[in-house]
Amino acid sequence: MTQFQSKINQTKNHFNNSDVDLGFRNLVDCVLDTANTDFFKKTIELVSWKEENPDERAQFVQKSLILLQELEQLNPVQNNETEALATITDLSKKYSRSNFQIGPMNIQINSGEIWGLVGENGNGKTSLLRVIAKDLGFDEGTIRFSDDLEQLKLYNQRSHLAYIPQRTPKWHGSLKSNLKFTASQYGIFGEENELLVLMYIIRFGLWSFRDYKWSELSSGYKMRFELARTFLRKPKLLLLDEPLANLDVLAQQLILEDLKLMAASLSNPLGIILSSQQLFEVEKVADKVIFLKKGSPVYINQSKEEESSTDEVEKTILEMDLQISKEVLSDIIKDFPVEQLQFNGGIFIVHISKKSCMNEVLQKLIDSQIQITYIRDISKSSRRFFIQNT
Amino acid sequence: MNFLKKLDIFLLEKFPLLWHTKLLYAIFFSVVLSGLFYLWGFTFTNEYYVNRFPESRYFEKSNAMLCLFIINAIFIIIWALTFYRKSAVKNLYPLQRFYFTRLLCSFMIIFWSLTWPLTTFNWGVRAKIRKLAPVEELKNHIETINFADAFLFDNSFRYGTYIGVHHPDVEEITFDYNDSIWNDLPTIFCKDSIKSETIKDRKGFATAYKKDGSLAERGLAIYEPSLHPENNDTIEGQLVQFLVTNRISFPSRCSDSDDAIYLIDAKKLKQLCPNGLNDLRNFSKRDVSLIYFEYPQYKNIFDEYASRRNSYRTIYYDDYYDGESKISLEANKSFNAFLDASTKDDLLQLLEKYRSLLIRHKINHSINTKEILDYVLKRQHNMDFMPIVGESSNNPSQAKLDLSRYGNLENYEAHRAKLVDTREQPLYFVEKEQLEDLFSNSQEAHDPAINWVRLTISIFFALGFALIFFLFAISNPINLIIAASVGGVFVILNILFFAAFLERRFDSNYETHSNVEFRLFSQLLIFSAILYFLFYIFYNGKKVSKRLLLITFNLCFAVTILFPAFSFLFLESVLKREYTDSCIAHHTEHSIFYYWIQDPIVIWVSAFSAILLFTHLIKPVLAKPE
Repeated sequence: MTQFQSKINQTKNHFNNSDVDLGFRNLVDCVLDTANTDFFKKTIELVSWKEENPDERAQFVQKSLILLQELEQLNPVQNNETEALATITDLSKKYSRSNFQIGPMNIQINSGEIWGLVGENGNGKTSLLRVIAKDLGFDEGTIRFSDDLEQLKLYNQRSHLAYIPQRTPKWHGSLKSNLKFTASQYGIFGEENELLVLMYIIRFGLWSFRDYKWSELSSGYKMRFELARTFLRKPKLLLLDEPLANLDVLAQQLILEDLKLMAASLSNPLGIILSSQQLFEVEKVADKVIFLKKGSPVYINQSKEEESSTDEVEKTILEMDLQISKEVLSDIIKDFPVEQLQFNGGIFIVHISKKSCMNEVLQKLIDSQIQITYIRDISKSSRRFFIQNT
Repeated sequence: MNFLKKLDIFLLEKFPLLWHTKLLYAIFFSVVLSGLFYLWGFTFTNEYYVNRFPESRYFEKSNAMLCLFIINAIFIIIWALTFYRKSAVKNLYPLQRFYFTRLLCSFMIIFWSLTWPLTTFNWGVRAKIRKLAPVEELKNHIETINFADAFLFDNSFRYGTYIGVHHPDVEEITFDYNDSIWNDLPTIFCKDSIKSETIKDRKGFATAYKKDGSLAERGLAIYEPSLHPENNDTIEGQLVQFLVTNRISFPSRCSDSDDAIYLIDAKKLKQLCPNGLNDLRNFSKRDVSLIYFEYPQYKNIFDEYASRRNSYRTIYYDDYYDGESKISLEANKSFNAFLDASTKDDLLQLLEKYRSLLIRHKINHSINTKEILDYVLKRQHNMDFMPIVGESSNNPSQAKLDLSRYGNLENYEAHRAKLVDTREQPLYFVEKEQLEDLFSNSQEAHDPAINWVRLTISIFFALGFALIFFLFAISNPINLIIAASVGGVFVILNILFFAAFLERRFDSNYETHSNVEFRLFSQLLIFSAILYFLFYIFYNGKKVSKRLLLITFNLCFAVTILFPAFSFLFLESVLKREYTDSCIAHHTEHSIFYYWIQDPIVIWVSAFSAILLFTHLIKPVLAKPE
């Protein structure tokens, strides 16, 4: 079974499980992977039909499944590039005036990978993204892109390194016309221009807003517009600075999910580096996370622990929101080897010198009939770096 | 509306730059505006303006200039907002081939199109003038005006005209009554009555001539008529002498014009004009000439361009410009032929025709043709009387009052005879200036030639604006403001540096001992080279701030526009040859660059080409990391 076919099966499952929204977004991804204008038209027709018949949900699912069946007949060309998109070696940037330094940094970004960049404010996240986007210079080290990017002149190279700043610039005219303009700048003309733009409008849930102006869009939709515009550019490497800022939780989840799906595109896989303060949300989608502390990186592999500091692996750090006092909690967990118990901002942080003991602590709290709002094991999360040292 | 929408999508999908710059919309806007301004020009123009103001001033008179300025300002603001909020360059989008060239050309066309209403307003004005005052009709009236003018006596008769008509062998030599010095300074070779010894004795450096009458050396001749009473006459209380002269011309070695020797012979005035000077036959002069309506023929547009870009046509009263006495002579001859062949009725018809012309074109006037004709014909052999028809009326109501008070010219003449102040305006008047404006405007309106001056100015205006907006397209406003300020400082520094090396001389002028142009333009070239060098250093420097680089880049961009002109002027200052000939005349042999610098097309093309070459640096500079 090809990757495409498994993606179609996955999409069918979403529809069959009544997860229509996710199913349809996957369907659009599959259509985009085919790069087939006939299927673009069919998808656009389907969305137009849905717009006219908003209550015909069952029929919409039916039509989507028919489209999926038709898609199954296709076997799109897959982009199986294995070469690293960017290899950053011993990169460092110094600010002589403030004596602040970013790096030295060593990372390798591959196609389809998402890297999260976290850290407190003023620790160099934006600067690092701009350095990778070649918007800022650096002092030492090297950044080497894939061969096809390296061959390009600097301007053209930067055209393929899409950097989206936290504050996106204002634009004039309708959302759609701006996207069409971007597409035509990238050599997508005529009917293809119209169809591809509409496909990305659909993909990022902008269909109802396609004729809106900048001032008529909310922050979330402005970010979606920026993403649609960026994906039209077919970037090799996407650098996002705080894309989740000013977004509600649902919008954050949607955008992160979209990024994950788009990064894994079969036709145009790309590498993504995104900086954010939303630690848990980022950790969910990121393959790797870099925590920047005063410019120095700590690398966290989401799938496999690769930290140099091993002392923290052997202990459990729990974050809890409980309706009890610190003294009561201290009494409940007195049987565990508690290293530290902190109460800050309404939540407890407990450091226990024992590996993976969250279930035991949870059981103890249940036995003591404590009202638990939430409990989370942050032993491997970058959240642990944001704990105030006492 | 639907068509516009389709067009918009077509442009957006096929020609993003055209869509982005809104070039077609700008042209459409300009065409519509031009059409409206054409109508404005057409409806605004009426006889009142045609007779009073040059057609080139109607644009300002009608407030069309202010209106166009406001409309264009609004258009530019809206256009700039739509253009600058999308930027392919600032978004680092891939740019199509010759993107910057096409962008600059688009800007130029847009800003040039904004000047079209000015031209079409003028077309409207001209079309209306052609309708109100067809040149063919006016040409037919040239003779009417010229002949009728002799009867509308305004006391502007000149003795020279008389002499020219009746004694073509006699030249009037200008004479200053106050100091008795001949104003004509060419060599005066006297014979017969004027003795060279007299001249020599009085001033010591005058002409010596040989007894046999052959050529003597040049010098200043002093002649006092009072010493030669046999040659003088008194006319109207002034001492006048006419001399029969023979002029011998020969090429001059040191001058463009020929040297001349005047052979002077005294002749009494009474011998020259035994019947008196004031004779109707002497009064005709050519007010309007056919030459005024003749257009030079050009082989091609380049010839026309070369000839016309600096031409300025104002020859209405050609008597004053081209061989006065000769043309007056011709005018007199044809007038005399007309007089010989005409009855009194014919003359009255002529004056009526003239009056009809004035009425038809609403030219202010007040004349009674029959009375004027009777009055003049009664005195045709001695016209030493008061002016009848003024060339303008300072006070038309006074003229009307006088007319009702005195009734006729005889009474008015009697009244005038008692007046001490002879400046009082005549009983009748014709606003000759209005007639002149009418002819001038009609001629301009029929002028088939391209107005090269206006075309060149509008293109330069477009290029200037295009460059400013182009800079905004590739740079940010703060950098541009800083660059403009730094540029101003550099200009001041250049002026100070240049002035510091000038030497004060006692003749109160600042100047250098050597070639000023060479000093100035070599300094500017060196300054430009320093800027380019700095730009090179900053571009290749790793620690240089991007802002500094961009400011230097903007300054270099501005310098590049002027660089070709600086180079041409510098080369001219190096290659030109200055020398003084044996006649102590100073000459300059210019190089080809001297002619290039004066040609707007060469300057325009060279500046534009330099900018286009410079645009190749935009992408690398913008892409350079901070």
